[in-house]
Amino acid sequence: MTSPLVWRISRESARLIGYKCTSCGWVSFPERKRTCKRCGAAPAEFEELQMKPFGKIISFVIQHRLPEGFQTPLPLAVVEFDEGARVYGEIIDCRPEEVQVGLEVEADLRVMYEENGLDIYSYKFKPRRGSA
Amino acid sequence: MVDIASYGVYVPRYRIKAEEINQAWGRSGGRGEKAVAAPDEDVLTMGVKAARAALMRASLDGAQVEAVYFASISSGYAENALAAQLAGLLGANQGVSVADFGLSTRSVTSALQACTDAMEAGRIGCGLVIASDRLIAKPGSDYELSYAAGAAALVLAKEGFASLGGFSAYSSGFVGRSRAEGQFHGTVDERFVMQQGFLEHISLAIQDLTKVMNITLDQFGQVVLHAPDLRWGNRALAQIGLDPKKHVSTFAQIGYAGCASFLVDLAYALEKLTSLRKILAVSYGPGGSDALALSVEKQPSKMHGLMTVEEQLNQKEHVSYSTYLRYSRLLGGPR
Repeated sequence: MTSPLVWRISRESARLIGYKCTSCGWVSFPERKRTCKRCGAAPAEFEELQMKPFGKIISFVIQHRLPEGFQTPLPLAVVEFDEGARVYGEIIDCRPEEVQVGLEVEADLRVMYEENGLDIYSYKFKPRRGSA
Repeated sequence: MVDIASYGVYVPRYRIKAEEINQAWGRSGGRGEKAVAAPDEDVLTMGVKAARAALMRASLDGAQVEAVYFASISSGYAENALAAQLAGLLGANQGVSVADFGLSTRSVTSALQACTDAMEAGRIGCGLVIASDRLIAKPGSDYELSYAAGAAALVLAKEGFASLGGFSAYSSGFVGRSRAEGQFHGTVDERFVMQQGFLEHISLAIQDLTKVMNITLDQFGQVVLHAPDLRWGNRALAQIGLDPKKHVSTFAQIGYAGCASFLVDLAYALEKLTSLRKILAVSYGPGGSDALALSVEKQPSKMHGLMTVEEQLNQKEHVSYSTYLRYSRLLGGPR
């Protein structure tokens, strides 16, 4: 059985749609929150924001020991999109030693894992070399 | 009138040289190289990138597209409509016309023709045709030297920079290369398939196109031939009497990516265009061949921040044969 959680990718995740707090400008991605994490507005008013696939690494870790099913060494990073939203994701298409704080990255739709023969997708991040 | 308003191409970053593959199997030499997809890339992830590039070049939003037609022979699914998934990822409206084409590399021109027909019938005003393939050959086989990955997309609209002027098809019961679900291509007599299949089918499709359009071959400034083998393409040029200088092909740089190769080469031809001219583009796959004529009326727009086909061909990282095997997922392992 395919679990209902993954049988489709959410509209926000698929198209990088974030939610911007109308009071302070904080951007939530991919969830539309009820309260603003930064200014504390509750209930907060959010407007939809089409984000660009660009951002930079804020912090990272290179994982060397992971359970079966993961390729190691695996760089994992907190990435801040140019619009301000922060996410956690895999860094791909580069050697682990190239990963550094401040590295400009581009969100890239990739297969995350396979469930019952069905590819499940999400964004990973690769060093920005131009957009294709 | 149906025009090409934009194109988009996605070539994976990794390459393997034919020489490296040959070396792994104790053979010497080898010409060219081919594009290799990362283990977490598939026809959908590559297709969506080509389509987004095409939409960006046309300054279009996914919601403005009324049809998403997808061609591939390597989705890996016996049942799972990827055109609808692509439409969703691109932000198309839920009433968008979607269709999946496959089972032959020729299906790329079936998709193109279906989209053209829908526009000519007035049912849609703007459509997206996407082709994406990730071909995996049996290790050690001849096909392993050329089977590659890539994707490309065209935006068709009422007004663009090139018009689709003519379409001719030639179909027969000839099969050639075929493959059962989940299996590798079996070995066939390639010489026979080239002669009786490829050469005969594309020649007759081209012959019909020139007759219908009342045009001679020398009027075409560029030629795109959907050949699954570099030698087949060269042989066809000689047999049909086409100037090899007019042949636009990415085969030596990225290999053969099934349905996608036809659109990648066509996009490359549009990009390389230095003067306004006619382009002959011929597809081939089990079952037959389609020939189409394009008239380029304006130079396609150059988009800042969007990689050209040429840049994508040049931006690459070579991998070893063992990495290639891991990336092709023939050994299993994580994505």
